[in-house]
Amino acid sequence: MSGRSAQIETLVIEGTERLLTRASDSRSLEIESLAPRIRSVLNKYLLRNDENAPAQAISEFIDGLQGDDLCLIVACEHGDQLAWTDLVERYSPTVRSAARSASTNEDAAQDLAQSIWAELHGLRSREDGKPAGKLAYYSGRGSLAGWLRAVVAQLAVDQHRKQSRLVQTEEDADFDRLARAAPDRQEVFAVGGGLENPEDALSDKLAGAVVETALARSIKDLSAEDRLLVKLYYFDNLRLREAGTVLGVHEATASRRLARIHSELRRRVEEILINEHGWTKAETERSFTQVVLHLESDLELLVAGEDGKRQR
Amino acid sequence: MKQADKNDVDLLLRKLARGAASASGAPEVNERELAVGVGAHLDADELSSFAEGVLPAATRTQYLAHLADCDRCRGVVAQLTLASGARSSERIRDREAHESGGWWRSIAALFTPSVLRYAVPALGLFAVIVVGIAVLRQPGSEFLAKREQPGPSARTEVKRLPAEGEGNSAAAVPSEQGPGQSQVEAKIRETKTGKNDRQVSSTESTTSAADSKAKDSAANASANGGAERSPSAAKPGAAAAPATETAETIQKREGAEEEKQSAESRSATTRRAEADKENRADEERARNQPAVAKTQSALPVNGRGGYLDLKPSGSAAAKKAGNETETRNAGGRRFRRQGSIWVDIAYEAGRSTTDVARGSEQYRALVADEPGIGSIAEQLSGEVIIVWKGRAYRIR
Repeated sequence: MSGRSAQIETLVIEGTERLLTRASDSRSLEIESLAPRIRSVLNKYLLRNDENAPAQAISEFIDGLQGDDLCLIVACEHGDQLAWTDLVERYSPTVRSAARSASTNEDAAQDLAQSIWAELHGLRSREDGKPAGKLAYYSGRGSLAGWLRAVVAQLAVDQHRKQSRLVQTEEDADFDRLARAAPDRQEVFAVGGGLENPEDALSDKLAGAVVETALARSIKDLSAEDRLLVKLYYFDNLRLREAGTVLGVHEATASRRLARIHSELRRRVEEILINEHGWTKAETERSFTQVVLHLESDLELLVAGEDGKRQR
Repeated sequence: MKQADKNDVDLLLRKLARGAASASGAPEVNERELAVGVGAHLDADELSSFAEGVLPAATRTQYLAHLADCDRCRGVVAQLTLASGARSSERIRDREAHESGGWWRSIAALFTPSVLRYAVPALGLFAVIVVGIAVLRQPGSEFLAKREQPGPSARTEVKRLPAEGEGNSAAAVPSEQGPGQSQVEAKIRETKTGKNDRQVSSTESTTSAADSKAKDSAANASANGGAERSPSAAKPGAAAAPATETAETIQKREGAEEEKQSAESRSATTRRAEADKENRADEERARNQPAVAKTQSALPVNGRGGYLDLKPSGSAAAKKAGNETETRNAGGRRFRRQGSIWVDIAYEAGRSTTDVARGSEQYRALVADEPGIGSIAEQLSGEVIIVWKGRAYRIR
């Protein structure tokens, strides 16, 4: 065993001792039962990205694990029935609440909750005869309640996607209807008395497509955190405060970042249009304006369509 | 960036997002994606750890990139984050406190012992340099100004002093002494003369109630060849001039002052000549005396080398009688002339005196400490016994 490995092993053993000491209920677990779990968690979250992490960072990482939750889960994995009973009793409300949030009705929520416990326990058996549940994926880094909510959410998404293959959602139907209604805007312009030149309309449409493509590329060139903010706010329709919460920043900070992202995207799109498509600055400005005008028209149509639907 | 431009980008992004949403439709189900923890997606533990903000920085950055591009995982993270609202707020507060603390921490790092070890002496040295520069700049100019500008009235009067007064004083003293000492003493005399005259003129310029008396005393002075001052005339700080003076009065006063000044200068010249003679005699005697100089003598010594017996004796009494009427006020004190010595009337016979020679280092130090003594010594030529703050000084 190399020096580094020996050092890490020593730190893991020492950290495991400290964890068992500080846990209010260690579930009679031994160091040998817990150390492998801690070792794998350490590799997954720290050493994989930083092989030369200092000893202090390793010790701090282990000391940051949720000792009570980890001991409970490991005890459940080892077939401790008392631990299982505690787990179900203490976290059933959490699972039910998460299932209710992820489901459209109470029955679906109840089904989902029951599925969770089955997933956790595991329907298959491992080589050692113990159930192959998903408890092994809990690292102790975050809280057990948060992990259970994540399991419920993932399972809900999976079930939703399964069902969506079979049934088109009402939202998709609305989008399709609106998309079919989009060419009708030509008639709107005709009623208004201003016939749009077909050539101009085509060139505007093509220009709009070019702008959108440039915008999509510019978004990909953003940093991961900026791109995540854009996706959360625009694509996931979260409020700015909620998007900031996901990123771990205040709403005002998120707002400032978004303003900066707007400037950066505008600059990058203009660069792409000028450098790659040979547009002039004036053409770029005009194209932006045209696309926005069309967008506003589309928005008006969207709103009008929704109002009509409500009236019906 | 203009607000209109920002709105343009905002609208474009919304359109792009709508287009992406309509195009996504029903994604293909990937069996691998169903199993938690398997495949490219983040597993439940990674998602919950990210949502709770308990991941190491490097790992969090890695997951950020996946979440930015994976709608599924991003949706779960958003749900988890919003579900744990209170804990998320605490996490945001802690994180922003950590970031601001980092700023404070960077400032606090300036006050660590390792930095203070060098910073404190450097600051101290800098402060010493600044204070030294400030001190060096100040006193010289102020001090010199004071010495050169004794007062506006005296300044005015000084201009009217006849140049010959000073010139005569300088010329009337042939020096038979050594070159260096004679130059020093000549300078002292010149200074003394000038100041003496200024002092005289300044004391008289402040009085107008005593103008008539001054006239009389000027006449007496010219007649006697000496200077007898009526206290009221020469007393410094005498009654101030009346608020209004007529031109005639002013002219009369000025004329009287000029006459007085010329009389005084003549009498001063005479006195200086006599004092110089006596000084030369004293110096010869001093050269013949033993090498060890007595800084203090038990008994006062008269100008001729013998002890000054203040008891009335024959010759002393006659002399005293002859000089009994010769008194002068100087420096707020009254002096009586005894032979060639001006003796402070506060001096008691048999009192020990401290001998100080004009121009000596001791004299300069004494005058620096007690400027009043210097002023008296300058006003009274020759040997002077001054009682000052309980001590008797013999200025030669």
